[in-house]
Formats: sequence, C-alpha cells, structure tokens
Amino acid sequence: MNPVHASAARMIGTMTMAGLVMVMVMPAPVQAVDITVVGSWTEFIDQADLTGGAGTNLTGTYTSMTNVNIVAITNTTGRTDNWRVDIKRVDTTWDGSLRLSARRTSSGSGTGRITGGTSYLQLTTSDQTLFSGRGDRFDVSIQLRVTGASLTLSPNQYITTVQYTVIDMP
Amino acid sequence: MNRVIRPILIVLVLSSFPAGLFAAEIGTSAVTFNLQQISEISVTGSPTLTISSAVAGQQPQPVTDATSRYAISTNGTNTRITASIDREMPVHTSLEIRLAAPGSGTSLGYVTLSPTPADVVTGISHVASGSRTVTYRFSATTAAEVFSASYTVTFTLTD
Repeated sequence: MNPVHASAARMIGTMTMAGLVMVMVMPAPVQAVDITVVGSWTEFIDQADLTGGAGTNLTGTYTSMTNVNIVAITNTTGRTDNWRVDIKRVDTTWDGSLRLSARRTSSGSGTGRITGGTSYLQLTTSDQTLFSGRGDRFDVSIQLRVTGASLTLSPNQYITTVQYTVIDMP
Repeated sequence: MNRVIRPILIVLVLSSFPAGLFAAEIGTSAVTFNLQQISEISVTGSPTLTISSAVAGQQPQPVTDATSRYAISTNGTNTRITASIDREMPVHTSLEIRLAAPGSGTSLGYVTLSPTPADVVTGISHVASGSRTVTYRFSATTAAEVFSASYTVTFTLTD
C-alpha cells in the first residue's frame, strides 16, 4: 500500500463513526519549470540576394545571428531537476518550401547542465526535442536558418512562430 | 443485541497526476521572411549591322545579328520584357529585335523597335535564366538614304 492509500484508509476508519466520510487526496502542488525566450528574426530578401545578378537564383540559405533567441530555463527544483526543450513551427503565412532549422550555439550559464541541440534541427509543425538538461540555465543562445528560398516563391511576408516548450521530467 | 447499521457515505476522490504527464511551459519567437519583388534583366553585346549591297532589281536583303545575350531573374508573375530605341530610325529603314523566351513566357518574334517601348516577351513568371539569344534584324529599301548611326536599345522587365 503506497502512502496515499494508507492515509486514505486511516481517514476512512476515523470518520466512520460520523456517518459521512469524504476523503479527498489532493496531489502535492507541482512546481512548473519556466522557459523564457527573447528575440525575433526578420530577414529581408531582394535582388542583392541573387547569387550573381540577373540570370541567377537566390542564395537560398539565410542564417540568423548566433544568438537570435536567448532562452532561459528557470524555476527548477534544483540541479537534479531534469527537463527537455521541444521546438516546432506554428505557421502564419509560411511556405512549405522554406525549411527553418534551429540549433543551440551556447550552453548559457547556471547551476544545471545542458546537452544536445548543437546541430541544426529542421523544424516541423510537430514538437521535436532540441536539447535537454537539468537545473536552471540562463542565456542559452539559439541560431536559426532558412534554406530552400528561390525565385519560385512569390513576393510576400512569410511568417511563422518558433515555439519552445520546456517539459519537466521525472 | 440489536446492531445499528449507520449509513456511511464515502466519497473518495483520489487525484494525482499520471506518471506520463509532465508540466510544460511555452516560449515563442517570431520569424519573418520578407521576400521583395525581384525583377532583374541584363543584356550584353553591341552588334554592328551593315547593309552594303543588293541584288540588281531587288530590295537589299536584311541583315541579322544574333551575338547578343540577355539574362533575367524574377519572382514576379506574368511579367514582360519591353524594348525601345532612343530615337526614330531613318525613313525606309527598320530595326527589329527578337528575344528567345527565358524558359517561361512567350517570345513575340521580331518586333520593330521605336522610341515607344514594345513587348518582346510576355507571360514571364518565376524564372532565373541566363544567356538567352537576342537577334537584331536591320532592313532598308533602295529609297533609304545612306547613313551610319548608333542606337541605344533599352530593355525593361515590367509587370
């Protein structure tokens, strides 16, 4: 019998004499790990991005600054509190031929540790794990990259949102 | 001895998080890929066309030159190339131009050049094409005056 059941049984025994027993076993409050993401990326593409002027196509690959996003993982229970960060696209006016990728370019700082995510991960509209760690981490740098741009795309603003989700692990 | 049985109502609510469910928090970052209209065209070549003889009893034969080339890049839809010259040709002479289609669109064949821009290729969409042939054709009748002049041909890629 686990502690929860034992406690419930004792309460049932105690309250039997009163004729009415209400036993509610509430879970202990869960401490939520927080994630903070700072920064956004806007890339302007024009004729200067042709590889060789008229007759040529676009460069095709565009890379953000190495710290276009700064991520912080906070409110952990300590350096043994494991978590992972998943990432995905939430499209507004994105085009499927544009391939957006992300990678971690720094480990940041903090009492915990961080692993994975240093190679580009192509984002989809479903969550994928970018990196994981334990304990609080601050100033984790993320770089974004777009490939697949070409003149087949019509002039437009292609907009998507990169969504980071931190998941507290047992 | 009589036993009194008391009704007992037990409401047991056990609430706990299943093992597979973890707390999650979300952060977001916007990405905007701002693709501008791109319409680039370039032309190479400075041909010389000379009519110096004719068969007796006939009009002079036109002369052609196909050494010039053009290149184009556009992400527009249904764009066109127009061509014009900086001034009128002398009477009884004609300068025409023909551009090969850049893999997208339709060449209108030989088009007479004048100071008014005229369509030479239409219906061009989303293309990057280099080294397409430009052909000039110069014609004159026996009524034309002898002359020698240079003309500037202007190509425009437009919606």
